[in-house]
Amino acid sequence: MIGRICGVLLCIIIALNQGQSQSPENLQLSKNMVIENVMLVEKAGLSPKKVNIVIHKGIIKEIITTTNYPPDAVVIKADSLYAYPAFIDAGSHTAYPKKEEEKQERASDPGNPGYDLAGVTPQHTVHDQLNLTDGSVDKMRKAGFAVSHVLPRGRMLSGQGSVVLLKADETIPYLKKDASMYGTFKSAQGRVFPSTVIGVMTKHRELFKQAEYAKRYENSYASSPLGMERPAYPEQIQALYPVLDKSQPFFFHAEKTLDVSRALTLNKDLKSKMILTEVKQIGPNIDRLKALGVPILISLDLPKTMEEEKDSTKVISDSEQKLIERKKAAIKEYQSLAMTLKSQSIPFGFSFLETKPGDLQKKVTILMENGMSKDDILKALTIDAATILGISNVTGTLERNKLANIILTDGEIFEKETTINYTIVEGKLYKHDVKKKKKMTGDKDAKVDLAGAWTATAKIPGQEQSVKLIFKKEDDEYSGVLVDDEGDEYQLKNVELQGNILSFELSFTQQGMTIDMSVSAQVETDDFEGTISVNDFGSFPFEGSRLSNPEK
Amino acid sequence: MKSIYIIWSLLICSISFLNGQEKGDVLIKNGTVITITNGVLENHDVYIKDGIIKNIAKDISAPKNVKIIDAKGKFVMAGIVDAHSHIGITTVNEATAPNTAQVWVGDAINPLDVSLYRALAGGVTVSHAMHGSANAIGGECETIKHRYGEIDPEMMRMKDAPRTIKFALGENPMRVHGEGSDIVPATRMGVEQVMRNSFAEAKKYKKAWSDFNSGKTKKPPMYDNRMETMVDILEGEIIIHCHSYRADEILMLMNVCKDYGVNKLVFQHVNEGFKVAPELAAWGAGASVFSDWWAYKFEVYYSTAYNAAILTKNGVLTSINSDSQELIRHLYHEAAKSQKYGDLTDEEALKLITINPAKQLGIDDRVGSIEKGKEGDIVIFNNHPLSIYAIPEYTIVDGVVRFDINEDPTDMRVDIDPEGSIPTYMHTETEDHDRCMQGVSESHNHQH
Repeated sequence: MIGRICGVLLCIIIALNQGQSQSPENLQLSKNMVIENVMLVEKAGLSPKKVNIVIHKGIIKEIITTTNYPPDAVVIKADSLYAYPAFIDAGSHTAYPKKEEEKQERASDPGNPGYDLAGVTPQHTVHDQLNLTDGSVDKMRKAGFAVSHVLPRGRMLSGQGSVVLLKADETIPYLKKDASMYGTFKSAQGRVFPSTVIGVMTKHRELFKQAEYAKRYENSYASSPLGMERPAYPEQIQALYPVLDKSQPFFFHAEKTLDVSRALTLNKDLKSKMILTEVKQIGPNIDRLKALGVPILISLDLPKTMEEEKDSTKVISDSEQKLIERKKAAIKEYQSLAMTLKSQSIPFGFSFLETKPGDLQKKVTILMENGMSKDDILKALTIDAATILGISNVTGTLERNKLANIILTDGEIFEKETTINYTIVEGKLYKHDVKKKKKMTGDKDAKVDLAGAWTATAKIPGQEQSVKLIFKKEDDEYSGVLVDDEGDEYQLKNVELQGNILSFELSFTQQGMTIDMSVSAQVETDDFEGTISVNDFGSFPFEGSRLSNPEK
Repeated sequence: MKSIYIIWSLLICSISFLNGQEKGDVLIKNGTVITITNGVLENHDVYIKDGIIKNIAKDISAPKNVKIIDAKGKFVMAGIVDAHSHIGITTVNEATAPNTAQVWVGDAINPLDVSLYRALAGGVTVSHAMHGSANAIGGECETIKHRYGEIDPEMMRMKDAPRTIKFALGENPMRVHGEGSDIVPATRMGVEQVMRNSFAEAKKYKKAWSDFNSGKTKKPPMYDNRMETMVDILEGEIIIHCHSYRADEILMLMNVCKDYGVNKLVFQHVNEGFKVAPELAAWGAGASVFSDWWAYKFEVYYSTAYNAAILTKNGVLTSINSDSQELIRHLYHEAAKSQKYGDLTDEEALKLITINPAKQLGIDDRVGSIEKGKEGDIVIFNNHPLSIYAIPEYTIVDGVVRFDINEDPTDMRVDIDPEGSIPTYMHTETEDHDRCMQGVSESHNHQH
């Protein structure tokens, strides 16, 4: 039962995923660009100064106060705007779309399933999988990112990550190709070795040991091959050589106390240069981390502070309250992890493997509530991330001759009301559609009757889609259905009318994807006007008018 | 609200206090000291300094700041040692191959497991955290000290304890691999063959490396963790602890080990051990049994509550184990049952849960009795440990009081997951008696 409405929603999603990158405003118009009269914050910690930024072929050519710039330059009047270094994502799956894992045939020898089934694919790179027109790229850019460290999806040794600029070019805009190896504790798919953390740990050790011997033999073969058996080692083993000699850092996914402890133990055995990734809890390991002297990546998937129980009639026993307090303390510890590391002078950045880019401001707010200053956060998201990834010579600050990776905002960064209007990636300008939300005031005391049939239209860019809504009222409770143009009906959830503010939700699953929509609208006698929001794809105008009164 | 905060922060403080030290000082005064190896000493003091038993005598005085426990009227015994458990680890079985000698449950140590605290409440200070019995040759095990309160997995290890490995005979490996994956072993003969093949392969592997190391060959053999472990067993560096029930297969494994020159062997469960007790004694194999638990599956249909006594009287090094996070809380009762059935002396019965399991784990020079120079692992009971009324009141590990019945808060978790849910009910997980098979998927695991 595929209603037309579902098809339309999929179109919306597809359209949104392609989104900004095709809009004409995002095209690079000239080799020269000037951002005029902008309040520039050159790097985290400095105060803004009014300047003109001259960009030539994606590089910050000059930062001047005169108007002495090339005549063909495209000038962006930025009088009311601030310029900050664009953010750098130190680890995520951006531009690396998720693929459904193929159903594997049952291994004939589950104890020796071969490299692929075991999840040992260190030879994989992100090259073939990278898609810089993927919706995830635009979302990151909208959130202010110009650079991502793309980690491949996979299992215990997923493969090698690359640092890329978040722009679609003729060739993939690598800043650092194969910058990292990415490892996890993830066991193999299906019931094959390694199926547990103990299997994964020992497999990591074995592979590194094999690589150590293989490399040594290859070297001695290279110097005198005569009479020697040809090395012929598998590419999975060879791919580990750069990790062995520490020329390629080993980003390792370790979230909680036990993962971090185990990863550190493993690192000791492998003698790699391990950068813990997506960390949420370090437990007792602060001294070990400090001794290691390597940076770590904190997951920005910070949980919300628990709210106090609002229902005063609910009785909470002392013992329950104690449990709640401990949970709160654990959340607090995670929320203040960045501050803890800062106080111990352990360098850190943020990874975004589990964080929606659109939630950045929310997460930043949590960091600030826990003592991080805006400068601290900007530093972690720019120059510190650049240093961790080894690209601080070209980006992370807005100095002369560095890449023009810039965000333009309409206020000071990380203020609640501030929006990012433009993200400039290596000189390429991406304008973001920033409509400040219209506030629906409503009238609490208004008396309107919703019952009856309505026609409603969602105004989605590029197309409009009309549906029919039928509301019923029983004992002051509303219910309703949505009818698409093929006559299929969908039950609405949580239909509420408060004063003249109508809200309802609708969710269904379409090709394995759950689509959640929520509507909020202000009702006048025979019309309503409001918004419909669909998953994370944003909000669109939603208008309707009455077709009939309640059926008697 | 405020008072709750205070209580809570006190709790946190007490835990972090524990975190700060691994070894402690304590003076236990005027107790009935059950030394295990040197009789019972009435009205004696035991002084532990820096985690080591410094003195056992009357009227010991210690520096002022040393914690003193008045044990008048109480029974002071060596901490209980459990030769077979699966607590304190997050993974039990890597059930993907008949031989997974390359894995090690020491990689899965979980200091956050509250079972460790419950074991302390049962007077157990050391346990042998074992791999499960899904595979003929499972993984290496880890002897852990119950230093509950520590969060670092490293702190749980009993450093320098000998390496041990889990083997398994009979139905479990047959079911998992024979029925489950349609590979060897599907029969008891197959189980024997897996072991013989593995040892034979290990000999070849060892030869290949010695040829390489002596320069006879130039290209190194492919490094293989599974074979590395097998070679170490052949070289006597690892004690085999083998899950077993039937007398015939017990004899079989003794023959296999003899053929390959392996002489460190302890049988686990060994419910038909009483049938081959003289043979076990002659071979020098240990036996770690349940007091009176059997008939939970076909191959263990036949056993007796006299098992421990018969084995003991025949000179087999015998212990009683828990294999369970519940049984581990009253191993002293299990010892008492064996005594009741089999007419053992107090000393013989208590050895089953102290020095004997310590010997089976190769740690009897460090724990298992109260002797000068041994590690300060002590349990203090209100009554004689073989009394049905015995309750452990203090459990001390390396001189640090890790359990005190008078300070036993409800919530003893040491680490809270910021993304976890708040527990809303008492944890009453249905006890899977055969934790040996934990982690083996339902399709081929009928309970027990």
